[in-house]
Amino acid sequence: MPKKALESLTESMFYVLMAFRGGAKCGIDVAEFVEQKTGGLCRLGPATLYTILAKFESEKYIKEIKVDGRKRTYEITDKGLEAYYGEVARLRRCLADADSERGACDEME
Amino acid sequence: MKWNEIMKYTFRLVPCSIYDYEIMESWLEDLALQGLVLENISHGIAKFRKQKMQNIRYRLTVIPAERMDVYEWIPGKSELINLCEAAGWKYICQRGQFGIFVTTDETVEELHTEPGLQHMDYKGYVNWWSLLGYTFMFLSFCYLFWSSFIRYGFFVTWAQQGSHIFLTLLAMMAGNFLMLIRQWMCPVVLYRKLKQEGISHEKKPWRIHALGYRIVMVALILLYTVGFGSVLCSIAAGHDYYDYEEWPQAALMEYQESLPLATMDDAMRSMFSDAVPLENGRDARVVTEKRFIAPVMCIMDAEGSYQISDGTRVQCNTIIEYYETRSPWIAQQMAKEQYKCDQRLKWYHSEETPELGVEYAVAYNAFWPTILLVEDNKYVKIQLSTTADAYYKQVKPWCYVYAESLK
Repeated sequence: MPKKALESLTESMFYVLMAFRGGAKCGIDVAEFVEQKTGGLCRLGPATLYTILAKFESEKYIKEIKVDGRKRTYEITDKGLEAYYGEVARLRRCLADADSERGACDEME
Repeated sequence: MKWNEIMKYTFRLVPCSIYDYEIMESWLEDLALQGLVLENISHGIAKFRKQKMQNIRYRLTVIPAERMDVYEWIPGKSELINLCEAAGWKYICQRGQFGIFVTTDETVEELHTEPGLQHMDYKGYVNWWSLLGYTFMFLSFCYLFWSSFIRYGFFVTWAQQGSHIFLTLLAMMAGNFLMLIRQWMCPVVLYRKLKQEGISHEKKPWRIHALGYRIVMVALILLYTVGFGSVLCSIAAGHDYYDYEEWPQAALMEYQESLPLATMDDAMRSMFSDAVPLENGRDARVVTEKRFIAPVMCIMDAEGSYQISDGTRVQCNTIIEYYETRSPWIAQQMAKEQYKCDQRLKWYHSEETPELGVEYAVAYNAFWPTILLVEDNKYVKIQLSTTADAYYKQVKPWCYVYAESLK
């Protein structure tokens, strides 16, 4: 049975891909990037981050480029970029849909 | 190790399966409040270092295996530990597929911040193959014993399979069954919990759980000890369960002399290749085997003519299974199991059993006329086949003859 591909990215996954888009990073750098980028709103537990990295590697969204002792450095692949841009487009559509629903936005305001 | 060093440590039995995250974490955190900090867990025993009481958070997570890829070493476990240590978690030890991490800092982020991903993580690394292995082992044991257990009962199977060997396999089967249930239940329960609600990390009452878990573990250890111990004892005693030659046949000979077979003067040579000539000159198949619950067991198979109670001489083939058991109740139990077994045969029909003056007697026809008799610790099963039509289905006359042989 083929492995089930990622159907959608969670918020954490999205930010991890965003981190790699800026260049190759190790797991600790990714965690710091996500925390800074979201102002501490999205914090990644180390086991959660490891799970995401392992999943992305098996899906070939990222690839390992360097192993330094216990530290592994990854970079994003074309497939990973495609997934990232796909998610950005999906989120933009969501925002556009929300904007088009003026009534709902007015209520919020 | 110096005494001072030893005194710094204390040991405790683990109270639950490693799959029970919440109980394990609660137990470790309670002990930390008593001043015991986990150092290691090995073979169900946890080693603690004594130090000042403190509020510690313990967390368990699946540890990925270090593995060799086609080209390189994939440091899965060490990378996870590296990430955890960078986040403020200290790796303590690994038990099975799970790692135990600890932190004293209350501000440190949880190991898992997304329950959905924790579920995915667990699903990916749990060793489902080992569960299949346990299932296969259990089914193998069932297959080995299925026919015996279904056909007969516990004691008859025991008597036929050999005491120590049977006990061992039975103990292993029971132990394996418990292990199988545990091996299946624990991962599945954790899987469902992670999928549905995630780990709460709230304090759980672990004491009652610990009592039950430890009782099961001790029972399992005893079970395996009895099983393997009995094999070792039998090896040490030099028992050979299938050595027919060394069996002292004096008691058996005495019984045979009381059988109607003794009146046979025209006994035919047995067709069986392992036929052993009897001391009294007749020829019959005699098999004796040493058994724990039925130390005297023999099967006699004789064909010839002999005299029954009404004075008639009848040509007959007779198969006699004779047991002397350790205790009279075992003899009765064996007879009752055999009777129940034969009652299930499609050609079974009951016969009138006369009053014979023995403790247990039942006569029936299960393809062959069959008589089961028990007196004290002696149990005899007799099956007859005769060419004499008049006696073919008449069990009653034979009952008197064989009941006498037991007295």
